Amino acid sequence: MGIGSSLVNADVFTSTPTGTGVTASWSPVIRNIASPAAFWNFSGSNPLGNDHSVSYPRGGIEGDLVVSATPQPLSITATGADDFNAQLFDHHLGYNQLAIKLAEAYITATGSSVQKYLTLYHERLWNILSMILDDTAADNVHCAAAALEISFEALERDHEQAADLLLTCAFLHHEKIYDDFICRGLARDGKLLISISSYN
Amino acid sequence: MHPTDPTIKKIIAKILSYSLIERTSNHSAFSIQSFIHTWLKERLDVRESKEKLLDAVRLTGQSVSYEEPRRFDHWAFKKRIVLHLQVCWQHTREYLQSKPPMDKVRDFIGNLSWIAHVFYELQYWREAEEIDTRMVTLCRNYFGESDLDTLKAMTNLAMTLHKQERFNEAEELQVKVLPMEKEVLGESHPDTLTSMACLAGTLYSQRRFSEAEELDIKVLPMRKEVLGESHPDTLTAMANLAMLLYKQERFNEAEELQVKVLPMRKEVLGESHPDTLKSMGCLAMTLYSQRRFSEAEELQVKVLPMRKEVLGESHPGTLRSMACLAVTLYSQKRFSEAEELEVKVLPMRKEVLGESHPDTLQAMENLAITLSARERWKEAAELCTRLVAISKETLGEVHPSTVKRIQQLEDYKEAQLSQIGQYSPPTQLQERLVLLLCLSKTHVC
Repeated sequence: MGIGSSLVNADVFTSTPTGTGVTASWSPVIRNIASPAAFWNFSGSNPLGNDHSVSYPRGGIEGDLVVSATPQPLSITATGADDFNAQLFDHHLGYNQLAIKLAEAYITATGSSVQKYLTLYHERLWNILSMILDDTAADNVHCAAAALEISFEALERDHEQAADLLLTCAFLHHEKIYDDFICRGLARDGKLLISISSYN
Repeated sequence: MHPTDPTIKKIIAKILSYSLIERTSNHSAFSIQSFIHTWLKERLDVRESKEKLLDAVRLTGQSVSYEEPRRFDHWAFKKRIVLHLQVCWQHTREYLQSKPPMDKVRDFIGNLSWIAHVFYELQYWREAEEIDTRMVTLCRNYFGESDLDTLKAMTNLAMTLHKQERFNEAEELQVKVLPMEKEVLGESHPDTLTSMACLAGTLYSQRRFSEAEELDIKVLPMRKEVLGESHPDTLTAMANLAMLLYKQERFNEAEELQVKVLPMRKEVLGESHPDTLKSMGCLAMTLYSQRRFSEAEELQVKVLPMRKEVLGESHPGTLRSMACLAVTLYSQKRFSEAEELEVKVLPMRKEVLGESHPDTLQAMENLAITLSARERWKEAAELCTRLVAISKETLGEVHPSTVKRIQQLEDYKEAQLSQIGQYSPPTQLQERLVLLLCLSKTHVC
């Protein structure tokens, strides 16, 4: 949670870690979440390696924020200060280590504000959930997928060939992809990965 | 290692900056977290998946076909990337259910054949054969039976079958390919000559030496004429013919050819080219077989460090050089020096080739023999017990090698009992052992 160092001690947000949950005052859209544990339901083991799984309810939730049956993007209005509590940031990302890592890297790479990122993140999370027909709650997979979508799309915009290479690597083993292997593989082309074929 | 291209370096750095990949500890490679890896595949639709898979096939195919001048570390490189090739092939197998478009299929097959070639070189026979078989089918369906790529695919499959000692199946394919190539390409076309040489190799492996020689004798002058006297393929034909003569124990004739090939390979390919080193090793073997041990040793001590440098310490060729040198030392009764090498070879062969590989078994046998020569019967018997168990399992109880090893084990046990005074060995035991050692150590290289 390395991003925390730049995020602590904000005027706008105060938080007190209590057990697994976080008590926060949040302004202006999400306010007075008296019991965040009711909002974020932490339970169970997490296949992605962190300690919690997050339930993201699709119906109404406690507090001032009411979400209708049709998922709506969660908008977080920029407060003018990005440095809010790191733990709250992690909390928003469901304490999902992969999502947190991706978020940190994204913010560093793009220079985006934390608040903008979180807005984007919640938007994506809702989009993912809205595509699921049943009332599945958000879990670690959804949190990580939302963060991944954001990061990958940013990479696509930033460097198309890099995104292309990464997708190609999805058809190799996921470990120990040697640099010289990539270099030899692309050596004859002079340029990077132009599809050799598209099946009909 | 290939110097990393700055463009590629930048691309990798860009992906790293988004934490979508992670650097390995030595910074020479990267890994993708398994969740991300799965997610990447799942976000593609069917058409995109096929495109990216074909990119992956192209990437892997080109990476192994890429050759840097005067660098021969390909084996180590291929070992490093074989896992990627396996995964790539798994995906390709699924996608081959659908039909690749005609205009791209040759490129696809070309890259796939390089992947098959790596499996072949690394002795991943299941994968090599599977790809080769698919390629033959693909080529037949797309290009027809007598297309050159179809014929090449059949030749490749035959070679893979040959390496698995399925000589009849290999020969069956080769005798189909050869007349077709003669018809399509002509008798003296380099590909036709290669097919003849391959068929000769299959006959040679079946110990049908006169038939093999008949073909090799045709290939050599035709290659000289078509390709030139000093062309690498012509030199290979000479080297093959020399091996054929060697196998027939016509050592003088074999040596005569080998001493011609060696300086030509040095000149054409360079002193440290793997084929030049192979020529040195073969000549050493011919000298050894004529009991010219010191001359053989002289060559072998030159070859070994060069192979280490060129191929790497654990390359099968390097290990073979060590094993051959050990045999030469043994034959000069320099048992401790032989043992010193053999105790290095055995664990490396186990690691590189697997415990039940014939070369590993040979290394176990050689070491057991050397231990017995030093009258360390208990150690020899222990090693031989394991050797017999594996031989029974892999070769069967009635295989000549298994039978020979069972006898060896009995002899070691008898000698061990005799050593501790519990058994009086037959008077001829030592003589039998010596005879056995001589038989075992012949043609070990």
